Amino acid sequence: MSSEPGKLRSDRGQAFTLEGVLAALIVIAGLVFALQAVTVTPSTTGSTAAPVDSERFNTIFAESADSGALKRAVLAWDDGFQGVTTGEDYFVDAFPNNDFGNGLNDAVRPSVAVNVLVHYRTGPDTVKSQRMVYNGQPGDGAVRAESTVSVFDGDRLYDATGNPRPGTSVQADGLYPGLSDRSTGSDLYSVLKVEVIAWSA
Amino acid sequence: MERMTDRGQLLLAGAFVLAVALVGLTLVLTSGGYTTTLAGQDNAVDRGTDAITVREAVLSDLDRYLRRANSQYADILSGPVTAPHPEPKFTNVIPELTDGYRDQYGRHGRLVEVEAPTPTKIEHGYRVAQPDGESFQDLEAEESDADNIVSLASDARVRNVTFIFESVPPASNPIQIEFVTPSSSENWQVAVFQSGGGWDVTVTSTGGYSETCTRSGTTDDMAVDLSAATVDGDPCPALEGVAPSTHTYDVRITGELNVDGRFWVTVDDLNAGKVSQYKTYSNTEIADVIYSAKVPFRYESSSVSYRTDLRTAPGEIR
Repeated sequence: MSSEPGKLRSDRGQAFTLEGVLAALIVIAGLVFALQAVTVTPSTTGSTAAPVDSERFNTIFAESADSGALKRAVLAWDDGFQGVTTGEDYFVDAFPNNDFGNGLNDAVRPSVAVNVLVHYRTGPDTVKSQRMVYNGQPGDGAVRAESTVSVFDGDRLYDATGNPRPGTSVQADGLYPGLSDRSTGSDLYSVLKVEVIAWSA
Repeated sequence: MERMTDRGQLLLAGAFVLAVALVGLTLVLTSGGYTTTLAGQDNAVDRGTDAITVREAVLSDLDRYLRRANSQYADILSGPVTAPHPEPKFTNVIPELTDGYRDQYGRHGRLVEVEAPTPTKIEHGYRVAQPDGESFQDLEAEESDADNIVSLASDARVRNVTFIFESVPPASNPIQIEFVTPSSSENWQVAVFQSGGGWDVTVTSTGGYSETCTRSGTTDDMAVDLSAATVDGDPCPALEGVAPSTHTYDVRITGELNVDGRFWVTVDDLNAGKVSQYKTYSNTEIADVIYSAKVPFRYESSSVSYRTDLRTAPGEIR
């Protein structure tokens, strides 16, 4: 009989502990569930509004690709993009003075920063990027669009305003660093991908 | 009394266990559904859009390349042909082009296959052109046509009919472009002449159609695009009745030919034996070009399998 009261106290202690642990678990699980159920929308505090209407942005970019303005801008190259005055081979805080650059400039507000990058393959597993316009790392709420440009051996290079430079060709004069003719047996020189990213500066 | 307290505690502990289990199960089901939604969006929408984007981009590239390859091909009547025919160049460039797209779209851990092998059908055609501003009078007919009648095409579907007039004759004796159906059904006639302070384009047919467009001014060249139904790039409703691509026609120029201008006519199936009739047209070029090509196209990714035929006919109206 003398051991019964001690055993009873020990059992009850364990039961209290179990109750405490389970109560803590249910509170934590409830908190996790509640946090998951909170809807995060673009207008929730902490995120930023899109710098441009992404649908309009994509349309303008697609029109540039269709009209050939994007290709002319990509081919405005002579050891750097034509018209650059910063000492770099790409534009900083400015757009190319051609149809593509002017169209892009009209599409975004002055407070919007834009990067234009041209991605190309230099080998089976290596991809390089050439900056056309670069304004730093994209911020929150960035809008992105991309398009491909096929370049052929006989394509002319262009000047800063989008006019062909007589006597030039991609094959003879070359294009970006490390980019070479991917297909010597055909007229194709390379397929490039152009990416445009816009965000509120 | 103590036994009852023990049972109460046991029931309370059981209730806690049940509650925790229910909340846990709910969390697992919720996150499972969320994951499924995300995975579905990525596969069904984004990658499906890629297939369409790549298809349109490849077709656009083929159009542009074919247009340029055709334009670089030499006039077959100006002597021995030294320039290579565009067909081998065209067929060589297709797989290289699609490999380029595969490489660009197969990045970021995605495996994408884009393929367009040898065209299944290539249709040859002819481009008849007077590319320099010369008198249409120099187009001397060699066949037994009456005087002042020039055949530009015989029994052919006609595309890209563009005339640029540097001068036009008076209304009493206009220059006329005739579309004559071999089956003697409705024939069409486009007459161009001076009228007051401008130049008129009058379209008539044997079926009773008669409409006129007037271009004001007489100093600048006038571009009449019969395929697009435009005059100097502006819509000309009168030309919409012609629709030269809907039938096979003999195309002729008649009337007053002593005016200057240029023209391009692309035909799809001109009988090769009739090419000789153009030899005496000193200012006219005829080139054997690729009129159209059908290329099988395949796009494969982990979640999208897409096959279709791409048809490119850069001289054709769509």
